[in-house]
Amino acid sequence: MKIKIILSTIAFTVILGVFGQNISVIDSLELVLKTAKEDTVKVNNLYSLSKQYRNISNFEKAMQYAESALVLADKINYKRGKANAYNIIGNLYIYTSNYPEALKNSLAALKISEELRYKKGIVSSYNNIGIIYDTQGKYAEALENFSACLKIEEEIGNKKNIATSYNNIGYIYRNQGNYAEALEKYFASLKICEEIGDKVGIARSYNNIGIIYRIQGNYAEALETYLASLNIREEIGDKFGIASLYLNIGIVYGSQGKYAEALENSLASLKICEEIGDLQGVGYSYSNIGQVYEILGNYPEALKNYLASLKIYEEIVDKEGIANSYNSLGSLNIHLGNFQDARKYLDDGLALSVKIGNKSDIQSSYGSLSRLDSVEGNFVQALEHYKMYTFYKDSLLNEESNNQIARMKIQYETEKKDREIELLNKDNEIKSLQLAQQQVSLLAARLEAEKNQSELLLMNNSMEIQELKMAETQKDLERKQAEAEVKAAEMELLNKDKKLQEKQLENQRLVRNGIIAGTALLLLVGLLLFRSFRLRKKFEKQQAIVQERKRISADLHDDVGSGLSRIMLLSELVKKEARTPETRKEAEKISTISQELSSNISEIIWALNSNNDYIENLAAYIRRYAAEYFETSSVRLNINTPAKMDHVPISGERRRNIFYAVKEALHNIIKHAQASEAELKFTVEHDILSVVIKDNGKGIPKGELNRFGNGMSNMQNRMKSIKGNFSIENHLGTKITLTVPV
Amino acid sequence: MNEDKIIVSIVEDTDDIREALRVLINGSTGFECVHVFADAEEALDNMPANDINVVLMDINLPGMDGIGCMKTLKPSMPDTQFMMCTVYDDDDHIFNALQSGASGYILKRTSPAQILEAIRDLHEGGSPMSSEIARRVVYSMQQNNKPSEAIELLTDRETQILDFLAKGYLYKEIAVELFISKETVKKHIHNIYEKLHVQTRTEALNKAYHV
Repeated sequence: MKIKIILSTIAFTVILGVFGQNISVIDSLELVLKTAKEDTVKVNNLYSLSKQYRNISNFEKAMQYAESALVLADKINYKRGKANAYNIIGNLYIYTSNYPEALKNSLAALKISEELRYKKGIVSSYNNIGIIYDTQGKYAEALENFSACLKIEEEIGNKKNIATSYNNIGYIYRNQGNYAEALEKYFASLKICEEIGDKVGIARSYNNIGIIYRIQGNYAEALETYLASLNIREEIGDKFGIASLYLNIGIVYGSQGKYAEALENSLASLKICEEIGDLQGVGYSYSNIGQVYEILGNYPEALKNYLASLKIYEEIVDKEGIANSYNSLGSLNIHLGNFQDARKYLDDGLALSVKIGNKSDIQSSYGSLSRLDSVEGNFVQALEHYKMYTFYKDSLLNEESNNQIARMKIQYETEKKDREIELLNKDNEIKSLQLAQQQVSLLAARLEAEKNQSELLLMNNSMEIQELKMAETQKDLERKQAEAEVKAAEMELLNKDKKLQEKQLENQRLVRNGIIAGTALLLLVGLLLFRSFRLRKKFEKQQAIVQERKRISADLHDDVGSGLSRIMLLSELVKKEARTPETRKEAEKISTISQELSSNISEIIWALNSNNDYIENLAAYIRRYAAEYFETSSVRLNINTPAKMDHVPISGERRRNIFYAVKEALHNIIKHAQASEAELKFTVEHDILSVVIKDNGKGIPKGELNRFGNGMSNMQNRMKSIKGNFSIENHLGTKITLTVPV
Repeated sequence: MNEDKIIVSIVEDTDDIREALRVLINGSTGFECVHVFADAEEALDNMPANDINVVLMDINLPGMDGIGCMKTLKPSMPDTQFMMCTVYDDDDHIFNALQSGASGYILKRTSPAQILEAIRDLHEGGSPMSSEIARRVVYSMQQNNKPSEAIELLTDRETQILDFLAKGYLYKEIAVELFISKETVKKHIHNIYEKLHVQTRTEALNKAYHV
């Protein structure tokens, strides 16, 4: 019985680039490179170029660029760039079958990537290392690395790379003789590649599925899938892949007894592999050519090719290849009658195959050994070896595997149809999750609002106090009285506790003086504003106003502002050291008032500033003001601003008047409307900006219009002064509409 | 030194404010303030390089200003966060400070309780940003980079958040819009500042190469 185990080709690649437009991409990248500075961008470009050249199997150029990338990355200490460069160098060494160098570089890359927690780098290194382990026959280790890749890629969510990982895992299962698992992974890979339209991946998956079919003896389907793969690879110009396919197709033809076609395809493969420097491919081609010659009875040619393949495998330390060559040479030497040589080759081949754990190679060794035994007349041993041969054959190709393969195919087809339904369900799940999340957010917001209720009460109190204080400080008499009171208190306290109280009083006096100074300054501000207004009337000179505003802003900013800050901080200190609750409360009031004065001044400064005069900035400012103002109230404010506003300029005067009118309207809602909901809406249509402020409160009762008269006419005048319009509707709450042409 | 405490240092020229802040910080649990300086020069001479978590830096100082002081201190204090203090929304100065390495700012009118909250926030990786500053960040990223690079520099989420901020949304509102927590919003903004700093660093490097 003649047994032929024909070598199957390696056909998994870690290509990440895009084919088809490589040449133009390369052109433009090389153009950019000529003028590039020595920075990270250049490192990345060199890296990209290296990948592009690798993808068109120009490994020499690819290596040049990769090494340049490494040198530059090292020079400018760009660690991520260094990791990438080491990885691509490692990868290129895999393509050119220099595995020790490949491992060295991949490990260097892994170290840097792990330091940086750079997932993409880590995964590339794992991938390289997995491939290297595979060629060394360390399948368990290879599987470990590829599984780690899959895990990280799933975390990253890069489908293309997930497909690559499935593919590589499938390849290891195939080498272990676990064809059902292998096919499952290959189909998983194909599914994803079709989903994302990844031609490289589809071609690769077809090729690998074809290999399993061929191993199963299903030659027609194997040929069909190979040709589908070849079509795609020719379209995208993947020479490495094309060579693999020629080799695989040659193997199928050989299995079908079509030796002329088998030889033709193997020679085509050899030519391409030599051209692109794929040594492993060259080794495979020699092996397959040798096998065809052996079958055809041309033993000298067969021997020549087998020895050529062994030489290459030894050069690149491809253990699987070496084991395979040993087996082939053993089998050939039986034909040649060199039984001693044959046994030596076969024993070595078996030992190596067992060490690697490649079942199909073990099976092949036992088969040949059995034949050698019978030729030599040692029938007992021949039977033993034959038993081992059938044992491995059965374990590789049993009913179970066949059934599973058939099941896989059906499952793949049905899954393809079910995928749409699955996607729909996923959508619904996501929606319900989002809804739940929204509810949680709303609940949290409501809780926070409730928490702020007490603060709101406090704020309302202090506002009234502020008004009183303002009136108070305007009168000299009362100020004097206050000072007298302070002095009286000082005397009294001095008697009780000299040192401590003295300090406290000093602070208190300072604070009061500060308040008085602050208020006086505020009055001064009002005066300055008035003066600036008259100036404008008198001279109508925009320039002068701008100058004046700047000066006022600066005055407010430097003097009043920092003064108020001091008052605020000092009152906080007084509060901390206060001995009685009354003092504490007073200090708190002072603090609140100074804070409010401070924000008032902040608004004045904003209004005086003539820099940011764009309508979208005004909307943003008002939006934020309103949101903050309502944040601590029980009124829910709904703010509506257009998603995109035109970049229309707006004068400082208009901006200021619109802001104060809106502010007045918002203030009325909080103070008087007793509303639970309010709305602030901006629209810009036909060059008209309109602001609508609406609430669901009690509206303005007829008899009370007088009370609000001042504020209303204020708003009206403001809008009139900027050629705008003001209207009020009093139905189910209040609706105020401000419009102004822009 | 207690490890749980946030160690704060103050650089502030107004005596009242500096002392009040120091007393307030020391009087609050979880905070400690030992080193206070009245001007930039004093801070440069005496600021301990280690141990300080947050520096409260007044922008307006006599002599060297707060931004210059921070720029000088920053390289020797890589783990320290700088919080700039200014009287009002002085956007030019604030933005300049943020570009130069500050990760936060407070206005002096901020209430003491809020100042402490802001310090804690900053220490825990959150940063404040007003709508005006957000607009400046977007503008500056567009100016200093090619459009494609600016997009690469900021993540989609960060761009979204900047957009909302520029429109005047509060953190809380952005959190609701994007289904994330307010703390996450703050962290994103902190990262945006980091990217602003990185940008400045490369600029400095490029200039050095041209010399």
